[in-house]
Amino acid sequence: MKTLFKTIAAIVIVMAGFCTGFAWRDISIGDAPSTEAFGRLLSGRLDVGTTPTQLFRDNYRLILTRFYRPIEPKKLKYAGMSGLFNSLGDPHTVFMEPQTAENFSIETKGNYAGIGAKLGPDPLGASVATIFQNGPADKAGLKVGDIVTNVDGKDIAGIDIDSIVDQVRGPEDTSVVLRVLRPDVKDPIEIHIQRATVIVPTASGKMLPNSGIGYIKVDQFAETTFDQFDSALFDILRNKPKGIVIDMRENPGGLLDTASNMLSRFVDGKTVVTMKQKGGRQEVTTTLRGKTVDFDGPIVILINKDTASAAEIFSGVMHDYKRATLVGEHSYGKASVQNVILLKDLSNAKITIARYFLPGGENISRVVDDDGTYVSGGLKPDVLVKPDPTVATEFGNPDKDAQLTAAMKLIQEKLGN
Amino acid sequence: MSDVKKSLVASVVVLATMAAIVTGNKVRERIEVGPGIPVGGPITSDAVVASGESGVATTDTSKDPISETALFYQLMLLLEKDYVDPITDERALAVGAVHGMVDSLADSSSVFYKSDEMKSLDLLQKGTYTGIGAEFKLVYNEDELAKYQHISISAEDSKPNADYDPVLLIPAVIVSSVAEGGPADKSGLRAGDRITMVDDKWAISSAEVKEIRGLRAKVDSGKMTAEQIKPAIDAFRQKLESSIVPAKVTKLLAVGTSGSVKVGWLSPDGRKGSATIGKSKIKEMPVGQNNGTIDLKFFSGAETLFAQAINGKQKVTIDLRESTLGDYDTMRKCLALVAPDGEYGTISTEQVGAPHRLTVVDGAKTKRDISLIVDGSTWGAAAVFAKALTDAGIATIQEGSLTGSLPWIQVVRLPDGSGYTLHTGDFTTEASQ
Repeated sequence: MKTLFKTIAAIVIVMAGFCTGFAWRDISIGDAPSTEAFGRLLSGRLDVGTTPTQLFRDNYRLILTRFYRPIEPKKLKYAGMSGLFNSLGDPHTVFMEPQTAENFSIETKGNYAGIGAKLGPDPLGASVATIFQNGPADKAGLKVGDIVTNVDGKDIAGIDIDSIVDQVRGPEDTSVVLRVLRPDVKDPIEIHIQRATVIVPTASGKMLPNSGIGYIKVDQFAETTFDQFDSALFDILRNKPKGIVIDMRENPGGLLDTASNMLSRFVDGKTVVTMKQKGGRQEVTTTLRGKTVDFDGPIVILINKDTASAAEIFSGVMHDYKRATLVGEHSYGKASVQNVILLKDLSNAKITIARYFLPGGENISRVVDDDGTYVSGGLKPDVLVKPDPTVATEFGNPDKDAQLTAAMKLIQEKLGN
Repeated sequence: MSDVKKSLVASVVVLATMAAIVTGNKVRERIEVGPGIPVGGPITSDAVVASGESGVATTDTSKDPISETALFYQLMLLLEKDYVDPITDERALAVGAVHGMVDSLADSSSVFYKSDEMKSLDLLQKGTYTGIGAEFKLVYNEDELAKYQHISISAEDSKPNADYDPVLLIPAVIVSSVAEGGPADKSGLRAGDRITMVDDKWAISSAEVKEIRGLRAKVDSGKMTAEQIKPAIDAFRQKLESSIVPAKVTKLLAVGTSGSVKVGWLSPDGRKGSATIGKSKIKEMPVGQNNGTIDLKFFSGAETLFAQAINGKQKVTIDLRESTLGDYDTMRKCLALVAPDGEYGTISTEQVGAPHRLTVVDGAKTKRDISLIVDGSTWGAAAVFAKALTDAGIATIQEGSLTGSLPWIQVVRLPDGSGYTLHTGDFTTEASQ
């Protein structure tokens, strides 16, 4: 009797093991075991219909062998994987074959060493347009308005500006010698600059002329952006502005924490976004308490089709709490988090693993069809203003920026003049 | 039971359980993947991703570490595990992969059709036009296509060709046939016209891109100033902003039986046309007769009507203009009605293996005097028909000439109703070799 019991127990354990193995595919991704698969197992119908993998393989082979000219197998394989990812209709879930993946990693490396200045074209070489505070050029005594005529002993007159910039840039801790002409100084000056990793300013502000309106341009949401935004904001607030324009155009986003900190200047202790993952897991980000600035005048945020991710969160949250009016064109519509997985063959799988929802509950995710054409998504502006196609737009210059002009007009209207 | 025996039994049970787990997993895999397909182990790399530069430049990519089925299956599992939304239809993923593969061929005669488009294609093969009553084909820039195809053949060297420019591979959408008396016909659309606009969206092709580049080159060489070309560049930029991909154009025009669509087009002679054209279903007969000329279109079932039309006639004139892609089986049957037994050419490919031959068995017993009318709109099965007859000396071309290649096309159907055409060879005759 005891032996029988033990035998039955052993059989049950082995069967349970089989079932666990059988259902492992579901269990490992957090799903309930598939009853459909068990049904097929019990009925003995193991080969019903064509499995997705068979469907793929059969057509892969058919195309490879029957197409009228030979195709590189690898190329066909990767085209198939791209199609597999594209079929989800999410523009951020993409398969990148090794070549593309390599370019992508160079692109995202970002850090470069330079002298900490922006150069503009000039007939004699290059003019110094901007000097980043405390950067190598600033420390070496280069000044805005200087004309660079010679880099490391080579005359640069007539060379295009991108090539000049390439010559000026270089590895960290190496040095570059610039010969510059300075207004009011008779002889050329030679300046030795030690190259260093440059932190590019990502937020800057100014007062717009004759308007009493402050203007802050935010280029991206890097770690350093919050401090730069703060200093721009406080500079403007010292001028007692009637209104503020925050320019988020062309801002591709960045860190959620930075956006959240910046929002804390205007929104006190409220939800920024709710992040929803697969299977309903949620995570809520909120702004800090007691960090708001003392300003209750009108704020206008400029957005366009390249305003994405954290920039959309900042703009959308300000809008949803009725703290700002959105002017411009609909934004990009990136309200999701991706995970990049490197595969053995050095291709990458970039997969959307979570979505953000704004306080208003709206899902602004960009939807494209399988050809990649925009269908819907993004923040909708309260006031739709397209850039004037006949003018070369110069962001932040009210004379050459139709969207900024519209924003300024809106602030004047809200103030009642 | 002795202790030794007990522990022996226990370890047997443990081993059996482990084996059961593995077997269960394998059985499940076989159900999900299908018999005889190896799916391999994990495909994710152990290398660190975060730095973004781990060994990317140094590792040898010429070996292929993951087979196509393993990669497909593992990526599918990866998406099911990680993707934010539940994946309910795995078959759609496989169909998406097939779509991607077909698109990558960049071939005018190899086109993916979604299920509703496939229905329209099937109807068309039977002689029923839907949409605005016309058929379309995508025509690529030949030079650029040659470069693109060149890189795909060199299997050992997977470096992309710097010369190949994807922008110049955007095909033009050309009307290949118009249903007689249908909405498109009444609006003045003709075979050979290029579609330039659909519902206020521009169908841009490589021709426009080339034009703009030509202007830029003139500025670089000092023949024009930047100000002179600015209007053209601005106009192009605006077109680009509201543009529509070629595949979508054909769908909007060829699918559906109600509503209407605004169409703009450019004729080969440079005339521009535009009209709002209603969609409907138009049935066209495969064989029509006027003034002794037989209009022949290779819709399925055409052979019966064609046999009646030529019955008892010694002298036959066949009009093959404005022919659709056509059904190749029907074309073979029609060929057998006018051509005696024999071999009429080969369907040659650049692939290894023996080429297929176009042969007629149980062919025509009587010799007829056949003349053909063809032009640029004679393509697909009709073009093969004309070539086979003329090169065999059975027919003469009375009017026009055959242009372009003579593709042999296979239609592949997928279980969800979608499908694609695959260009499997080119028809050649001994005379043309």
